[in-house]
Amino acid sequence: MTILLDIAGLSVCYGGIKAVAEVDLVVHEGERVALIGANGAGKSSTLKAVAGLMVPSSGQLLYDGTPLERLAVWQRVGAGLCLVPEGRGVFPRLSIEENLLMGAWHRRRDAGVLSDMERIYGLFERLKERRLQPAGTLSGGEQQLLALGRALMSRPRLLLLDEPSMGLAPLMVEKVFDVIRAIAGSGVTLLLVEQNARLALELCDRAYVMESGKVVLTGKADECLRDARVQEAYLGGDQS
Amino acid sequence: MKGVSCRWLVLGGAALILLPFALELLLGNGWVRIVDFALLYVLLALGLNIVVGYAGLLDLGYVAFFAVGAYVYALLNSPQWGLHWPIWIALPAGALLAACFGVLLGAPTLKLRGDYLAIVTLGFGEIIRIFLNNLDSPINITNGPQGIELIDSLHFGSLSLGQMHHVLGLRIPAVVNVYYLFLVVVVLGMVFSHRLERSRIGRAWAAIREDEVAAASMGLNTRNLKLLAFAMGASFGGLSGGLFAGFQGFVSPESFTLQESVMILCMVVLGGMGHIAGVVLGAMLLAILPEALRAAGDWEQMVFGRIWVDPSNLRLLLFGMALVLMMLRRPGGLWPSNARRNELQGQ
Repeated sequence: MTILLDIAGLSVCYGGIKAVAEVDLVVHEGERVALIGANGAGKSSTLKAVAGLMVPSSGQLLYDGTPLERLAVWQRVGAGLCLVPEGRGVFPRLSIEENLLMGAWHRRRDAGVLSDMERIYGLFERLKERRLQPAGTLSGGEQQLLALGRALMSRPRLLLLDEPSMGLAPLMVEKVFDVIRAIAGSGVTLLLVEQNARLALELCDRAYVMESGKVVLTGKADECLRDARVQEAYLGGDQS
Repeated sequence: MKGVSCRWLVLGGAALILLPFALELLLGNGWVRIVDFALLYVLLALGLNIVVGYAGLLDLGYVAFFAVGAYVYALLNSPQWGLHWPIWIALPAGALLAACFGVLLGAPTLKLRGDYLAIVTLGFGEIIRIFLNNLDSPINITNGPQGIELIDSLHFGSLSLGQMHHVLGLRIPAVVNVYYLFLVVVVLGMVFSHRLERSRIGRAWAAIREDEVAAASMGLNTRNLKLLAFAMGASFGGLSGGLFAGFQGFVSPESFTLQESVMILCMVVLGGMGHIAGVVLGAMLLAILPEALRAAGDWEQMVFGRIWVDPSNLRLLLFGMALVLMMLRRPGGLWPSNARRNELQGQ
């Protein structure tokens, strides 16, 4: 398997505070990788550094063999790197259709944009019915689906998902994860940041566990699921 | 349906063409002049609407661009430098330089939002005014607080809009000439704004306004798009300033105070941010109402036999009350866009 994303010694600072310290992380092409940990462990900051929304204070980020610092934020989407931000980040006053079009921003008038939109409407019936309504009128779960659909419009190679289950009802979480599973099934590589460790570990192939800015554990997802420390800290003891 | 709207368009157009003559007959030339200035305010409000309404960047120093446009026209068309350039160079030059200043203001403030951005833009507006006030030494450029006088009136070749003309036996005074020019510019400005709002760029501005992080993660070049908004908005201001200088024949720094910036912002907010028709309405109302209220002194005299409240104070009092009432009753503005109205009703 070829390496798609290679993070080596990444540190991210907010002022004097180090949010991410010397993180090494590898994502192979076609793989599903989970990044789990408690609040403030540095998961989102890692993701933001990859997407270009934060400037790393040190470390080397290689995407498909090229150093990421050579790509400006707005060029990364074109290269196939797409972030679904925390809290969904749909544009509430734009219509659902306009939101989807924003996802295909870098593709301009590519003929495939409309057919991709139809394909996404096929996945999400609800969105098609309401495509001319402002996205702000959708429920939280529907907004998350829209955010996923919008990201798909960019034809990503590597999809960065920041807490897709946040603030959603359990039924909706299930639905969102079904969609994520389907996206991964279509060959898109995933890097998933999630607080709901069980969900993430059940979906992914491999996992990294972060604690106060450092990677403390890494391995196959099912091994992590059985790991005593992970069970203690994130899965609520000996439930499984 | 289409026939009806077409008829309204023709009727409205005819009304706008006849308006200055009606005003002149009924209220005198002074009122045509007031409407001329109101049209300049409409253009300013349309420009500020691009920055504040479309891109969501709060700008409290917008009058600076108006000043830049006015001084460019003044310097290129007055004895100050002995230049008398045609307006198709002087006006675009003002708009262009204003756009450059827009980028100059935008570049250092890219990371600022909301109140913080407002404070920097406010400072910028003051800096420009103070510069204009003090650039009479060591080299005299702006003539300092005295301002620049004897500016050539707006003219197309030998056809000056600053004089009375007779067309088919009809007397067309200067203020009416200028009215038609301003009307054309304002209509073009409205059409341009409308197209811009529905364009790819307009949609991108809306996305940045709503969620900048999400917009950036969709691959929008937020830096360039924000600078573009500043530049576009500023160019409207610069154009309006050039027209102002040519109409007024005199510019001085005191026309470009913070109060003017605040007034233009009030026009945009009162009318309905991001909605062209609303912005035009807001600008018209706020430019014309204070003038209309000047007559309040006469009414007071008539009703009470003496003047209780100075009309100029009364104007401010009513203005303040109107703004407070509006924010309570119609937070989206007098004439908000459909989307905004639905949203406010939904809440």
